[in-house]
This record gives sequence, C-alpha cells and structure tokens, in this order.
Amino acid sequence: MSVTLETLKHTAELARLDLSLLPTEEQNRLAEQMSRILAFVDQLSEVDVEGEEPMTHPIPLPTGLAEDVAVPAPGAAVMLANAPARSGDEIVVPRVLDGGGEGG
Amino acid sequence: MEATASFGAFVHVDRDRALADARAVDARVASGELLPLAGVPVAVKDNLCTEGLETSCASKMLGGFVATYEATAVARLRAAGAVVIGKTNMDEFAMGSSGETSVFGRALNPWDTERVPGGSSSGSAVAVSSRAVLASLGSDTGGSIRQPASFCGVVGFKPTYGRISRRGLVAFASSLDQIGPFTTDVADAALLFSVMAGQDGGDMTTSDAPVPALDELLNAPAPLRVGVPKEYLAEGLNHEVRARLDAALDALKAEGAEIVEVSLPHSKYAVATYYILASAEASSNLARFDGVRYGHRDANATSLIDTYRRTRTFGFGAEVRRRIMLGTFVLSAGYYDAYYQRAQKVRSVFVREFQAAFRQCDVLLTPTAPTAAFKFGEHGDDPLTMYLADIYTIPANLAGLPAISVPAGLTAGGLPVGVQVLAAPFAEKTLFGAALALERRLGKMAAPPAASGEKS
Repeated sequence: MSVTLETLKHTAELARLDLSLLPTEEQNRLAEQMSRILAFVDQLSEVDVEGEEPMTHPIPLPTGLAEDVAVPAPGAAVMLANAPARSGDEIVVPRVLDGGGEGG
Repeated sequence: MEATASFGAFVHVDRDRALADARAVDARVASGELLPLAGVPVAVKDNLCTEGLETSCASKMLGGFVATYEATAVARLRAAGAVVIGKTNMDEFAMGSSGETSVFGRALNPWDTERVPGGSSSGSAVAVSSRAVLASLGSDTGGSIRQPASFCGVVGFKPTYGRISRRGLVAFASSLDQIGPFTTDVADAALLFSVMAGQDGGDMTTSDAPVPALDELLNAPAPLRVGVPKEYLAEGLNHEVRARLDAALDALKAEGAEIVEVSLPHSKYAVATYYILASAEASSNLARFDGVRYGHRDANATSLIDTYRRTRTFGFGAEVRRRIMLGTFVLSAGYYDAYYQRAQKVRSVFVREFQAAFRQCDVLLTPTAPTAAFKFGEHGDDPLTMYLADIYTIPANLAGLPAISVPAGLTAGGLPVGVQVLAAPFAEKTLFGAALALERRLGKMAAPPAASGEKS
C-alpha cells in the first residue's frame, strides 16, 4: 500500500517523532521506503489464517506468582545518576504545557 | 587489544576494572572456589546492562548511560569467574544485519576488512573471530548472533526462547529476543549456555524447564535423522553456500544420520511476519526513550512534548526511526487487524509447521545466510534487500527454537560460511549433538590470517 504524507505524519505523532525536523528528501525517502516495506508485508494477506489464534509467544510461558518479598531499593542517588537534569531528588523537565504561565 | 581496535569490535573498555576483576577471580580460585570460567576474558554486546561500563546500544539515545544494575546473563558469567573486558559494537538498538548502523562507526570483518562482520551483534562476533576474547555475548532477534557468526567464522548460538534471562537486555522485540554466546568452538558454546541458562525471577518469560548438565551436552550423540527443508534449497541459493551445506550433510551422514526432506510450506512468509511483529514490539519497547529520566535529551526543546519529539527524532538513527514508524503503523487503529494480528496468526502456522517437521527428524540443517559476508554499502539504500538476507535465521525466532551456526568452511575467495542447525524447543542436547558431530567432521575454524598475530 502507498503511504501518504498524511498517514506518515499521523503515525509519527503516535510515535512522538517529528518528521518535519528532518530534511525533506529524508522525509520523502522514509515515505517511499515505508510504502515498499508495507507492499512487501502485504503478501501476508495470501495466507489462510481462518481459525488461527494470534500468537503472542512461541513458547508457553510458565504461570505462577513470585514471592512477595521486599528488597532494598537502589535509592535516589543511583536511580537519578543518569538524569539529564536534576534538582535534589527530582528530575527537571521543560514545562509540561506549551506557552505562557507556570508549568506543571 | 590495540590490534583488535582496528577491527572496531569494542566500544567501551575499562582496562583497570578488568584487571581488578581478574585479580579478584585469582583470589577466589586461590581460596578453593571451583569456577567454570575462571579468568576467561569475555566481551559483552552493548545492549546488555553492565555495572560500571556504559550501555549505549550503539545509539546517541543512550550515550553516556550507565545502567543501575547488571544483566542476569552477565552476572552469571561473572559469578562463574569470567572477566568482562568490555562492550562490543553493534547495529543501533540491535536493528540491522551488517553492523553499519552503529553510532560508533563500523566493526570490520577480520577475514576481509572491506566486508561487513554481519549484525546486529557485529562487535561480539569480531571480538571472538579476531581472538581478542575467547567468548562474547550477543543478542538474537532475527539472526543477530547466527548471521555474524557465519560471516566471521565462529560459533554463534541462540538458545530456546526462555532459556536465558533477558533481564538487563535492552529490549528490542520481547517475544523474539534471546541472548547467546559467540565462541571459537561448539564445546565452549555449550559451556557458556550451561552457565547462563536457567529460570530467573527477574524475567517472567524464562522457563523452568531443567537445563541439561554440561557433560550431557558435550557427550550428546549425533542425530539419527536430519531434515532439510526443501523450501530453503531454492534455485537461487548461492552455489558456494550450497557446497558448504552439502559438505555438512555429508558430515552428518558419515556420523550415521539419515537425511530426510521436509517441508515448511509457509517459509516464504517468514520475513514479512517477522518485520511486522518485531517492528511492532520495538515501537512499544523503544517508547520508553523520551529524554526524561536517562539518556539523551535534546537541548533545544521548549516544552515536554517537544522534548519527546526532538529527543526521539534526533536521538534515533534512520533504521531505528524506520522500524518504529513501521511498528507504530501496524499497531494503529484501522491497520492492527490486517497487519499485526494477521502476523500473529501466521506465527501460529509457523510453529505448527516446525512441530510437524520435528516429528520427521531430530534436527534441521539449513544455510545460516544466503551468502558469505558482503561488502560495506553493497545493499545500498534499500532496507528490504537487507531484511531478505535474514531469511534462514528468522524462523527460529518466530518459533522460539534453539539454533546454532557452525563454521562449515571457506568460499573460494577465503570467506567463512556457516551452516545452521535447528532443534525443537528445549532440545539443546539434540542440537549440540548435531553441532559437535559437524565440528568433528568439518574441523574447527582457525583464526583469520589477519588475527593470527594475536596472543590468545
């Protein structure tokens, strides 16, 4: 199937990507490649899947619950060591709401 | 280590830590501990979380990231006395078959540095091929251990899904990923498997199936019935790969096997099924990379949602972006049934066809890859051509089967070619019996000429 730029834009937004940040020829290339890949995977419509169950894992997973045991937590210092911006025990992020006023 | 650096295998190395770890192992041995891997230098793919060593998945998105815990598989190797030398190069977020998408630059095939080592576990294959280390860990979602093993002339093993814990493996496709070893011979692969395998409370997809003891694996008999899927021997199969496959079949016949033709009728749909499922799962797994808690954050974002968009658009490379887009699309409203759910149903068909095949034979023997290592840039700009190269390895991930690539000789041009053995789920003993039989007859692959100056 052929992927329209509209579909591409919608899909990108779902994935929190912004293709308009990329050069135009790259956006076009992505649209073209996705169209070709989707045309390729369209061959699955040939397969008779009548009565087949969708399979999430190839091997049946063991059931059963883990013991409910508390273990020591790594602590904020460890967990925040990779944070791009910190203030005390909090991660600092840009304002949640776009535009003027105090952020969340 | 310097010589290996010229093959681009390693991306993060902590020499001082490795030496300290080695001394600690010496102390443990001196105190009487019996360690199956005492002092063995190993390398770990950069998508496995390691303590004290960066885990970047060869991506800008995780540049500088140091994990807060260690992957279970790595911890088990260390507990057995292995010394982690460093992290190895890979395709970004394990998406690729050549090693060409790494943000660190390419790893080179030690047999011919103008050729790819394969991917996505490119550096791990190169590290063992060049004899910088005796063993390394990779991950395999659609062939990312087996294909580079074939291209680099080493053993590459992917266990049954659920054998080795994925805790600490940065997830690509959760129902397809498995961790496995690269080694210079089959016995070492069995050894590493026996050290790492076994249920882990930290990964609820691990199996409680008992792990065969090492001596059971090492003494496993040659297979009685070897199946060759007729769909895999299409006319276009490269004649040099075919020649190595025939040599492997002769080897197993010499060991007493009967060769049986089997059929996997839906084989041709494997690549399409895989790319829908793997991309869908990847789009979900990679949603966590948002620039908030760790990893890369775009400095020019003006709001939180802008942070997500800019961080992700610039933090991921083109192949990763492409797969996230594909995966998001096939999961989206209006397309989910026709693509994702349909692919899940086709997956059931594959599993049944393999079950039927394994009623007729003990193992399947197939090529690992359609060709020997190709040249850098040979697949040009077309992702599809690259995807189609995974045709022999993908089915084992879809069906969760154990699979191993064993070196089967060289092409006329001196490039390694591997052959692949598949067995039924949890039949690692049968699998290793076949792999050992092949190695007995075909011989172990020597180090490449370029690496023969290396100290072991």
